[in-house]
Amino acid sequence: MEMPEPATDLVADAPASGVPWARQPIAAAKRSTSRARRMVENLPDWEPMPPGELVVRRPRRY
Amino acid sequence: MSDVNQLRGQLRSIENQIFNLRQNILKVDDTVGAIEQQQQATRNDLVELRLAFARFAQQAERTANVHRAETAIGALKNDIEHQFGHHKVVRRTAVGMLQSFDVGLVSEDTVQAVGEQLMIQTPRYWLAPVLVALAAWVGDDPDLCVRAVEEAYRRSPERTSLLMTLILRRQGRRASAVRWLRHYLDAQDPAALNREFALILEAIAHGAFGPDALTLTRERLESWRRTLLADEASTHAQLNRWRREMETFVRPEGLREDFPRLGASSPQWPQLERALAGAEAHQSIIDRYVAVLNTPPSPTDRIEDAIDDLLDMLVEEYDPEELPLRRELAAKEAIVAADGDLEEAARSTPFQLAALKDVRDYLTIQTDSALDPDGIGVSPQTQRLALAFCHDWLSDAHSAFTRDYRLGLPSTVTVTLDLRERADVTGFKPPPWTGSFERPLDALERSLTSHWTRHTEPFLAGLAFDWRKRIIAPIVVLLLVAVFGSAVAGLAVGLVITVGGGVAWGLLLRAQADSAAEKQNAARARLAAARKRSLVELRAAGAELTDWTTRFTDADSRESNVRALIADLATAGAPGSPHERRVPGRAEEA
Repeated sequence: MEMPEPATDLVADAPASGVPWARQPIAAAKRSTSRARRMVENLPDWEPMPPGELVVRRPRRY
Repeated sequence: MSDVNQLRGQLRSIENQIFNLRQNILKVDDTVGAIEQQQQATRNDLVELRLAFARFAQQAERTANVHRAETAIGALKNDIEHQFGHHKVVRRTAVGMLQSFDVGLVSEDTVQAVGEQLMIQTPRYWLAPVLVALAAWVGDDPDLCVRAVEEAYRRSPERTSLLMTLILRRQGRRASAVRWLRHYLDAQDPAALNREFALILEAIAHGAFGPDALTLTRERLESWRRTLLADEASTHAQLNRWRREMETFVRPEGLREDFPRLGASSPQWPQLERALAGAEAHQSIIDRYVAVLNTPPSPTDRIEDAIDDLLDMLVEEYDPEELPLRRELAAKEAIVAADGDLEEAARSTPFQLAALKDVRDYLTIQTDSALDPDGIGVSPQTQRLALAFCHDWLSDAHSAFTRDYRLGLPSTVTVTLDLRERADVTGFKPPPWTGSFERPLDALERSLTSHWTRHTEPFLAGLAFDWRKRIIAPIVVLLLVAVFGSAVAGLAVGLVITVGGGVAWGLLLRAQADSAAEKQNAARARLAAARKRSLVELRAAGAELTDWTTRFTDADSRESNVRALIADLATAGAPGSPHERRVPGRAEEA
């Protein structure tokens, strides 16, 4: 898969005063993903766990 | 004769000399004018030259700034490439990984591109081991995944936890996402929270992480609150903000128009106005916060976009070690973009780099979210959650507010009428009349009438024409005229003059008496009218006080409703939201 150069100047044009504090002012044109929001098929049943926590193995769903 | 001619000649000579002198003065005047013009032109040239020089100097300085910045840019880029070249590779790989997860297709190439050497090449960058962990997950390699997670967590527990939380949630592993969320919250400093936290809080408030996350977050937030509340200064600061918030509901405008007579005649009107405005604030408070409770949850699309934006930011942001160089590079690039104008460059510093230090403490975020959700940029749902946590302050502030306006109520209400102003009769200067509404209205009316009578009767009597005083002088004068007139011109002539003078003087006095009577009647009429008006004003003020009391009692009784509403706010934010049954991606897949 082609891996693009990250958009390092994500919000260079956004004025600090115009964006409320709790908003992430990222321009739509500079988004990294297409926002498809799909789920990856065939992922293992376990998930990465925080350090010290058990890896949970769930029965596979068919 | 010859002397005269000689003098004439000399005079003519002097006249000629004066004429010549005048001509010379005119010439000098012209010359001075010309010099002035030249001086002005020279001055203009100098100003122009100075401006041109300033422009030249500025341009030269800007050109030098650009050259220096360009030189620095080259050096900085080399430094960045030399020190953090691998970071760029990690970020590029991370974007690719994120895109793969987004479209639901993680290829073998993607997994193979992420080897353990990535962790070794970037020994302090947290993103590299996270990528290794994700690749190990996709490749079903739990041992590598555990090792990579441990390494990532060691490098940055906060960033690792956040990225894992968001990615696991996107993949429908909500229970694990909540476990990572716990670690993310543990890694936060409640005294210095950043924008990401606000966004996460927003997502949690919308149920984007499910009810377990909301419960977990509530516990953590409560724990932070207890920690921060130990600092009295912080607590006072928040309480004061809520106290000021209460004051914003006080609107005394227009009350004076509703009670014009009472406002004009009662010295206690300022207290009455303040108390009524305070009491009526209860309804405004109810309207405001009921509206907040009833506001429907905002669309979830915005939250999903914000979460994706956050993921984008996490995989593309600079490492803290890299950031000083990146910040310097951005500043230098801004100087080049601004053509050497340092002020313009400072204004256009990239937002992402400038805002990194923009942190707030948890109490401030909650108060900001509760009081000014639009200003801080949170949704009504988050505002409700914040209100739930701020309800103690709101309750305390409301109690203090209610106590204060009630304490400000006057113990007695009096009315003071300025009779002189109302009568507007020249010379009539009675003292103002004051009565307390503790007494019955008819007693006040009798007191006011008595006050009028006590001061108007002497005044009107003083306006009457006093014949006894005014007649003495004419009699004396006429007697003297009669005596001296008879002695000088004879008895008959003296008598005629005296009688004539007497008649004339008598007519004059009569006219003055008529005029005085006329003025007295006019004053009497005006005073009577003024008295009548003052009585009307007294009754009107009394009636308005009755209205004020009814209105105040009604408004003040809503204080208990506000208390009940604040109690309801304590549980606000808990209800389910459209997110709770939503699994990201399922709809699109179907």
